[in-house]
Amino acid sequence: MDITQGELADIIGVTRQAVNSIELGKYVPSTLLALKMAQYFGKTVEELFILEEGD
Amino acid sequence: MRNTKFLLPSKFKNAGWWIFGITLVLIILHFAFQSQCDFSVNTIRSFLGMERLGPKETQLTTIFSSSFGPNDDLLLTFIGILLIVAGIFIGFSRNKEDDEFIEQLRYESLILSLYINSGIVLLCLIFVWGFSFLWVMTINIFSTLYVFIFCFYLRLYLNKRSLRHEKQD
Repeated sequence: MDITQGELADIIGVTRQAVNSIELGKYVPSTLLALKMAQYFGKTVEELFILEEGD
Repeated sequence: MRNTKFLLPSKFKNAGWWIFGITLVLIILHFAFQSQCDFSVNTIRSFLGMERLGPKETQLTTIFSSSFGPNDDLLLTFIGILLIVAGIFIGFSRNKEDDEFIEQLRYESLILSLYINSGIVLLCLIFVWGFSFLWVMTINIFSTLYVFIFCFYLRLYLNKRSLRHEKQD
């Protein structure tokens, strides 16, 4: 899916900084935001986010 | 997605900056014309014509007498009140664009500012002695709030700058 960070931020109702930080792995989103992202991309939360070693 | 119930609406932020600006002007005026202007309790009382009523005749006079000494500078008290109100408005009102990420930044900045402020107070406890320590305590009334504001805005700025860099790449 071809979408910019700004467009995604507008759609799910957060700032572009939030989307950027999530993408860079600097910020772990809340359950609600993860669900919104999953809903937009038509995937499950587990497909978008994975537990890393040490989490 | 906003979990924080305790933040003020975003319009308070502009009001906060205005109050802060006015307070800075008052501070500069106070130190520039300190010798020429007298805002002591006695002067204010005589300006309001309260000395004619006698200390026991009005409730306001009683409050004045019990709260302040006769030579206490009311302008400094007023400046202190304005600084705290401005700091609360600037630091604890929502940004125009506010979300859980910004809330996280705010929360982390608050913790960081407490660490920094406590560190400074610790150093002052060790190195500052005598009457000068009164100044440390006075500044400490406002410092946590303003160190928090500095940390929060610095982190916001750095985040926005990294976005701009990304756009150019």
